[in-house]
Amino acid sequence: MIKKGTRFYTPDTLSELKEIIYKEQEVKLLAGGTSLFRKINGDTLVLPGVIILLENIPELTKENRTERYFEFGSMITIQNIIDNCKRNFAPVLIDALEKNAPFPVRNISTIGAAIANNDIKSDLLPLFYVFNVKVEVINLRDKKIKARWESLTQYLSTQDNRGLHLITRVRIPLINPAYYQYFKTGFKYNLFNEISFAAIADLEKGNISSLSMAFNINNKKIIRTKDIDAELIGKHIPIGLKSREALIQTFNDNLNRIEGLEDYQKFQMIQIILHFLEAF
Amino acid sequence: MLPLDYATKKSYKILIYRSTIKYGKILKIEIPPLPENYKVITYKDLPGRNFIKLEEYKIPVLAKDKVHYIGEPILLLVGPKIAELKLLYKQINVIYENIEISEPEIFYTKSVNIGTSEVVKDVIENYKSLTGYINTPSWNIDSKFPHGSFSKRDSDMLTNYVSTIWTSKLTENIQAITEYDEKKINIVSPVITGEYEHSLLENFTSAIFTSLAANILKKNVLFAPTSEDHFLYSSQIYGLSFLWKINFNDSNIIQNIEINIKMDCGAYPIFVEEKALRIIHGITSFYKHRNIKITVTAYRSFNPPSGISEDLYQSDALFFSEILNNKIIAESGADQLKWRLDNLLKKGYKNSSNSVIRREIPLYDMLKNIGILSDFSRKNSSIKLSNNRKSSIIHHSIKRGIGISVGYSGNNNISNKKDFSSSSITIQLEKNNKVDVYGNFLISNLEIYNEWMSVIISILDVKEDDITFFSTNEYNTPNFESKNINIITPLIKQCCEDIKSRRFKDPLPLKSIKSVRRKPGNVWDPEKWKGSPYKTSSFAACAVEVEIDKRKLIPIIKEIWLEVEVGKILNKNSILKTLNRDINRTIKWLMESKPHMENGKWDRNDFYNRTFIYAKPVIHIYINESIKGKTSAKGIGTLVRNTLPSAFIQGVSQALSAKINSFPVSRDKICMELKKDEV
Amino acid sequence: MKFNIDLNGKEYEVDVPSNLRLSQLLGMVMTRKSVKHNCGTGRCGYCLVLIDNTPIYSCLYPAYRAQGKKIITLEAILQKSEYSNIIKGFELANVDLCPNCAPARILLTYHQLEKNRELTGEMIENIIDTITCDCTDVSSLKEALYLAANFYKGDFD
Repeated sequence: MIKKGTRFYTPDTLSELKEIIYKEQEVKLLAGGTSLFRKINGDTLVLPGVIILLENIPELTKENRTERYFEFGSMITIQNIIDNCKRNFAPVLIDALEKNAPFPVRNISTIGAAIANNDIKSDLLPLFYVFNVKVEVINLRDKKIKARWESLTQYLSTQDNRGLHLITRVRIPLINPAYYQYFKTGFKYNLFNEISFAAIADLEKGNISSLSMAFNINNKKIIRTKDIDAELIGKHIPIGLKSREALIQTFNDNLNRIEGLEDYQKFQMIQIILHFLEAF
Repeated sequence: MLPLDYATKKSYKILIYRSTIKYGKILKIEIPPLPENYKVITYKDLPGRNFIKLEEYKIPVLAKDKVHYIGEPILLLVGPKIAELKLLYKQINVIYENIEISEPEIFYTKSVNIGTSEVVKDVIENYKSLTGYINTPSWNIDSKFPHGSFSKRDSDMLTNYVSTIWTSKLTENIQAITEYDEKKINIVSPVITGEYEHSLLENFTSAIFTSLAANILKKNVLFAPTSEDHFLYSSQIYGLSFLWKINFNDSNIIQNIEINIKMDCGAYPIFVEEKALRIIHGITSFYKHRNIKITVTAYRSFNPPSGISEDLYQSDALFFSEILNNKIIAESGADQLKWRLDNLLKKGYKNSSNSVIRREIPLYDMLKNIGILSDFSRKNSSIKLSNNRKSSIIHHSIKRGIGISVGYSGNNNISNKKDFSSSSITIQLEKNNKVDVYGNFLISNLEIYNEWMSVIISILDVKEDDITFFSTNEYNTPNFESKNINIITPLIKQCCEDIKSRRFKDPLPLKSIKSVRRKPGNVWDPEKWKGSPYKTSSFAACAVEVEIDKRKLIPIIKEIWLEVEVGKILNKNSILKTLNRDINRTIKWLMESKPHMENGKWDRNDFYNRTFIYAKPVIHIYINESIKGKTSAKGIGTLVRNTLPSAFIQGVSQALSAKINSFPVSRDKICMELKKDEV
Repeated sequence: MKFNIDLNGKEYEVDVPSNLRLSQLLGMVMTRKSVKHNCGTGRCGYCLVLIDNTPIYSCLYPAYRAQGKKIITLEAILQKSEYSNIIKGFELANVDLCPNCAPARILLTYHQLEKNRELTGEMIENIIDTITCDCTDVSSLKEALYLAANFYKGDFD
């Protein structure tokens, strides 16, 4: 009798990976594995039938640096990025990466999985959004290996009906914004039931010329506040006390349109934006 | 080393089959055919009685025909491989019949009138009265050493590795349940500190489970509780709910206070009287109010049994008493600090049990000191001012608050139960000037050993090398009274003085036996509420500065000032360490939300993703050596827990400028209060 | 499922269910007392081990994945002089860690000191935050780590 249990594969190349996927029906790609374990916890793990470990594929651990951007293979760990790019990246990015998890977790969690994981949306996603991060995606059920660069917005909006796919590379632009903030509620490293927020802005004579903000609510939902962004362009930073009330009103109107937000979450979000605009 | 570290690779494991319903009858248990070496133990397999006996309380080992809470053990699955056991677990089927939950069963009430009882009647027409309720947070008994047990069979001996210090009681229980020869039961407690006997019930049950299985299967057996066992099904301390009413007379002076307290004891209550008395004493201990009528009602519920902790609700009581003071202060518009200083009990006043206080209580000085150190008055008034200026255009993204409180920690068993307070010391002075000390104490650290040595040397004038301690290394009681310091030291002193007085009258060897006994003049009588209940008390005062970030909606402690009075200092470092650690734990108690149940099932997600509290406040600790330096050392006990929470809550309510009645304070609640404040 | 793992320099063959975590394999199956499977979600840190010389929480790691990797637990360094040096530092600071967190804390300290003998404040914060056990307060832990670093170098001996 064949023992029932999970089968593990560790392919060495991308084409090997494709072969395995061609043979097997239900597979789960495992990069770092931290989120899998956090989700299916309890004392006995309920693992899917086939798990493919990606760590041996050399294409996924390459790093490429240019003047305008850095490209990371999706299997590069977060800690690796912190160690290697501390000098090159904007401090806000490093700060966010460090706040992501305690370092034994950072040692195994990978940048690709932080984006691809749909069950627990990473705290880092708002930041990647505002930094306009790009990802290279391969559709694994296709016969040919065809990689495509996509923006994060594009990727996340089509993630659910994409089928089995693999992020091979992540491109982080080297921008140094004039004005930025990354904020996470709760105590250090807390993951669930918290809000994370990222914003970058360019200023011209103290007035906002471009602005991009994003929220992650409870690691379940990413909210981009485009309407609020548009509303705020041209405003002076720090905002005056007189315009405060009117702003709160517009924020409220905008946030009320979004479904599934608790009252206190809206309050928190408004306070976070105000805090950002008040230039503390 | 932990108890489980002694386990061998081949020892058998235990998996507990737990009840999945709250309250119901067990109609049928279907057990699948078992493989070799595997066994399912039901209540029928118990050789002896089917309950654990603590004092007069009985807790069933395995459920017989009824279950009373979710997680009550019904079956024990024993076998060499845990994976196989888990498979078996899935095949077992228990059919229940739900019983409708009716009114909770009340089994203990205690009512006490403090002060002249005649006035408490509603003869006087009330000018004004205030009422309200307060719920204290419940908590998991978090032991430093996880419960778990390993039972080893060596020829005839049954050795149990488990962390407990109340070994005599455990042996007695194991003997009665397994009918094993008492002389052949051996209990080894690898970690002896004497400080952490919080999870008494868990340790007892796991030791009983393993010894039972070891006895039935004739194998070495270990039981390693999972984190779910630990957090969901183990005994807890449930919060109290206080209902209070203050009546004022026409000149706005407090006429009387009525307090009704409800205590949830879980499915199987233990040490209820002790808890109730501690609550009553805690509330009425050191403020001047009199004419208080307190009623404690303990009821059974369908939750895991309520356990014991070091303070046994003393901290809840003190917490409540300070919050009540806060309400009275807010009503009268007095200054926080000044009101407290004016209303503290002092030497010459009568205490709650109507006896005159003969010694100076250091609380007044300590409170004053903390007030100065923390700059309380200035901060308090400035926060008040800024809170009053709500309409102003200044926007605060952070709200601040500050609170101050006093507390004490009493060391004794207040219910006068025989089971608890039996400890005795025997000292013998031999002909060659050697001194032997016998007794049931634990030498857990060097400081206490040195202290005892110095006591003996100073009184009997003997050499250090001549003194020998013979410890039975066990307590006859659970440890919630810092026994080493508070009980044993005075006993040693008494013995030595006894011997000294007879030294040159009677021939050697001289023997003196002293055990805990109270002086006849000062007998504590919980029925009549007379006498002084605690042997010694240590005191503390505390101020806390709290901050609430509007973006985070969590109250965060910025700074803590704590002054403690502990008598003679034995080891300053260890006091500081203990206090620091207690502060962390107390903050957790106040802020950690508990996993909640819905439709009889724990929310697993909720359980595994509890928030992690990383509070790192700035802590200032001042240790106050006794006033005259004459008092011997006292235990720190639960001083932090008894003082810090009330100061913290005062800070939070000041920051929110709102009344807070139940804990932990949720984000929803904070948000609601802050919204009122928004421009 | 059968596979080989390299634990503390020795090769072992194990036969365990495929859905086992590394912490369970090391702690329960192979009875290494320094690895404690507790929370199972990477919160407590009691299950910390070194895999290929990087500290990880072994409860977040499938046992099978450790195949072909070098696992180091506290048992491997017990005989080394560095271990007793670290312990000396902890003892001098009067820090008495509880049996739960002690193995992980000492192993992590050892790892950090092995990598970098000058402990920065940031590293110390890292070590403290990685294992959340409230048996010891932060300030005495910091002191202990500084002392451990000093002894490690042999300055005080």
